[in-house]
Amino acid sequence: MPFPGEVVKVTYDIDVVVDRFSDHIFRAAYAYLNDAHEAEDVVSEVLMKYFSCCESLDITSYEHLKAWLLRAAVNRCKDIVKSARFRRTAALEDVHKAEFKYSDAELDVRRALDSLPEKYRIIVYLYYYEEYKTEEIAQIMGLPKGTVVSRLDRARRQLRTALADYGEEMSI
Amino acid sequence: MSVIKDIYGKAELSHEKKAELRRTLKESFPQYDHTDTGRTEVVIMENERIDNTGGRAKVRSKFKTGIAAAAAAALIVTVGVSAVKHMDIGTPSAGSQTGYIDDRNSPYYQQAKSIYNSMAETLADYEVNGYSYNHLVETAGFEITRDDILEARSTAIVRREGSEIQAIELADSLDKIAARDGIDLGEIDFRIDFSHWSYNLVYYVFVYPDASHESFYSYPHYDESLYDEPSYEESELDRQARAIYNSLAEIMANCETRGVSFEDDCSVINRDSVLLAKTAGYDGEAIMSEIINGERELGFVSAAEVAALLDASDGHEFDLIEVDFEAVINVSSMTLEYVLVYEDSAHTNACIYPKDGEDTVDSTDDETDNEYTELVNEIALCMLKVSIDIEYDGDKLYVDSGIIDRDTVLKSRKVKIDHEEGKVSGLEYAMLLDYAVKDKGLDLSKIDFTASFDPGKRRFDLNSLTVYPDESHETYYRYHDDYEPEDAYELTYTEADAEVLYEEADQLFQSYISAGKTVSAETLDTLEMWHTIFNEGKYPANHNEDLIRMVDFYNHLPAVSSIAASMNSGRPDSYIIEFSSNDGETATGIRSVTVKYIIDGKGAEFTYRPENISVPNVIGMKYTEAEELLKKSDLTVALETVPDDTAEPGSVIDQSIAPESEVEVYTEITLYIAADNTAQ
Repeated sequence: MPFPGEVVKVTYDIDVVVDRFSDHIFRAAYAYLNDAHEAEDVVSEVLMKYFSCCESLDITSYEHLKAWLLRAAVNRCKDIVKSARFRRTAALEDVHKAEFKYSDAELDVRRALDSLPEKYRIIVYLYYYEEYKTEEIAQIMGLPKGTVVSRLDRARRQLRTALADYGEEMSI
Repeated sequence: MSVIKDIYGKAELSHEKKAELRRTLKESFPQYDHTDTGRTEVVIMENERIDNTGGRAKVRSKFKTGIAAAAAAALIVTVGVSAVKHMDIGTPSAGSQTGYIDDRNSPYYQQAKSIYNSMAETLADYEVNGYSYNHLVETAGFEITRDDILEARSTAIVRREGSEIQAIELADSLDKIAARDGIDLGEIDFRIDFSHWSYNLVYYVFVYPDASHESFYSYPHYDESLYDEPSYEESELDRQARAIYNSLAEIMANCETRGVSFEDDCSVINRDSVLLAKTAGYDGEAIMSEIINGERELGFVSAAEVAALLDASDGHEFDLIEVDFEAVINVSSMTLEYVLVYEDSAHTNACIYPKDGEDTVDSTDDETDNEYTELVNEIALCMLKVSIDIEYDGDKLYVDSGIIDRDTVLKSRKVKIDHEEGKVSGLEYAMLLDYAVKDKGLDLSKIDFTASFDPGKRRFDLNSLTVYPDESHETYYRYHDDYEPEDAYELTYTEADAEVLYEEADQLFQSYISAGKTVSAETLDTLEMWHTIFNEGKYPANHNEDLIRMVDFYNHLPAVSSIAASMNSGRPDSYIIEFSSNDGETATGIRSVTVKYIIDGKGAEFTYRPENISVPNVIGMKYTEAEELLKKSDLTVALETVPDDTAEPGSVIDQSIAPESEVEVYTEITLYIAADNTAQ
């Protein structure tokens, strides 16, 4: 992270943007949709959007760019969930395990996460993985901050119930 | 929560996918293909996150006027505008859409609907044939009109497999499908607008009843919010009305949070009120500081005072005397209804803010952008985070944690806090919270707050978090939790039960061992066992001597009855005692104890398992000393003699598990003893 005032280049270079942000977009979309293939599509759609208008956006830092991309991804996910063609298929656990090398314990957590409604899941992702503040999550999601806080707390309660078997070893 | 972090961290795009993504992007945007092409922009990186910039990106002015530019440019601009717009960052959209006629019975509406359905079928055809909407939107120019249909009819269109779909081709396909349904598109003055489709998956069909296009019908129902009036088209009067509205809303919010109400004459604030305030010499800033400092004894402000406040606020650059305005306020509910700015002295025309359909400020909403509400939420979240961290570390809050407030935080900064394994005191919690809040850029010592501890839940109760705006504590902000408690019957002391049971089971086990008995290592569920014994009047079919001792064992556990008596939420349904064993048959110790409950149809269970222990170094010790030390450390000892001339006979020359290793309790450890000619 550069220091304030440092001169850096915010590049429109495809390689840089894909390297730095594609995984973040993918994870956010995956957290929301729980469907790796749909999430891949979201990544390509969001980046297509970005490059088609990047020079018209006043994006001043990588952090800002990331927030822009995540917000675009979240909006796209909302539309996908609303659209008729999105069928809520049960997650294929084998895909998770093979592709992302989850341990059994992690699979259980993954299942617990999957059991959350998507609107909670994305907040859990943004808070715990991207480490955004609730205020920022509220911006990205277009929600009041209080809603973000209460959804986060509720998601946590649900996770605790779902992972009760693990007792203390995996306190969520 | 590193578990969640790990899980999400593992989900990533494969290298192949990334390579494919790069390829596709580079084909579509060759200008961004490599670094240092001169297209990179040098900007000052501001090391701040979106909260500081308000998350708002500005569209540069050249793009605001670029809407009517060449087709290619227009495409990019429109995509940009569409994307930016969806980001809710306040950018203009093309075209004015006044003149919408909402008449569902009109034949024009029916036409729009038919065209919409034909378009849907056309798009579905393309999709079935493997074309994604990117093939369409990017090239169809975001709209199809009658002109496209007419052009298509006079053009020979040949489809090349996989190529992008031109607007004219889409028009051609649409025309054919519509014709099949008996609609002649060449006769209908229509326009299909795709500009919001890429995000919303909604496109609009507009049908114009006359050539002037002054009015139109739309299918689906026209959603005006998609075409917000561009802010740069706002007239001077609109801007004034908006500025007055916003300033007044801020004043009202300020008054309301400090318990100051508006007098009845405040239902209309207008230029006359401002004149009155000026004549009477009211000082808006002085009034505001009185309100902020809680010095308004009667707790009311008059219309003239509000006007003075308004005049003193910095939300507008114009002189209020010059503006013929009228603000209408519902005094009883403290709601700002609207602000009018009159165009002429006859008051025949006025600009109004907010426009119909725009969101009004709802001052009754609990989640207004009040700084204290935000503060409470921020602290609540930090408390949540601290609680999660504590639980994640396997620690518990203890009843002595009590209440924490600003004083506790100040104290925690001054005294040295020792962490006691497994327990977190109130002072320690205050310290952790202090750090968490500091991360958010806030200083707890400057915030007048209290939070109390809910011993039943063993965590700080978010709902008891209160922040006081002033020393008097007459008003306060409390964390508002809008969910229904799902775990109202939350168990108490259950985890401690498992620990108590473990200790008693361990004692009993040791007494059996010292009495020369052996215990089966078979792990059995008491419920299952008791059920069989008492309901069927017999031991389980596979019972043996050891099993009988097991039943005996469970029945002799004093904790079983004592816990049941101390429970305030019901008797546990079963205990599961898991033994550790070297050979799988004979127990060498107790590995864990689990207590299970079923309450209100929901199951819960708590397991106590002691921490692993560190193996001491016994090499070089006498065998008897070594054995005693290991047994004291809850390890099981086995013995093996090996010939060794160098070491003192009877001393330990090696141990099967290296010193300092972490092992479970009652793990068997073999000691290798130097052979002694006199020893057997």
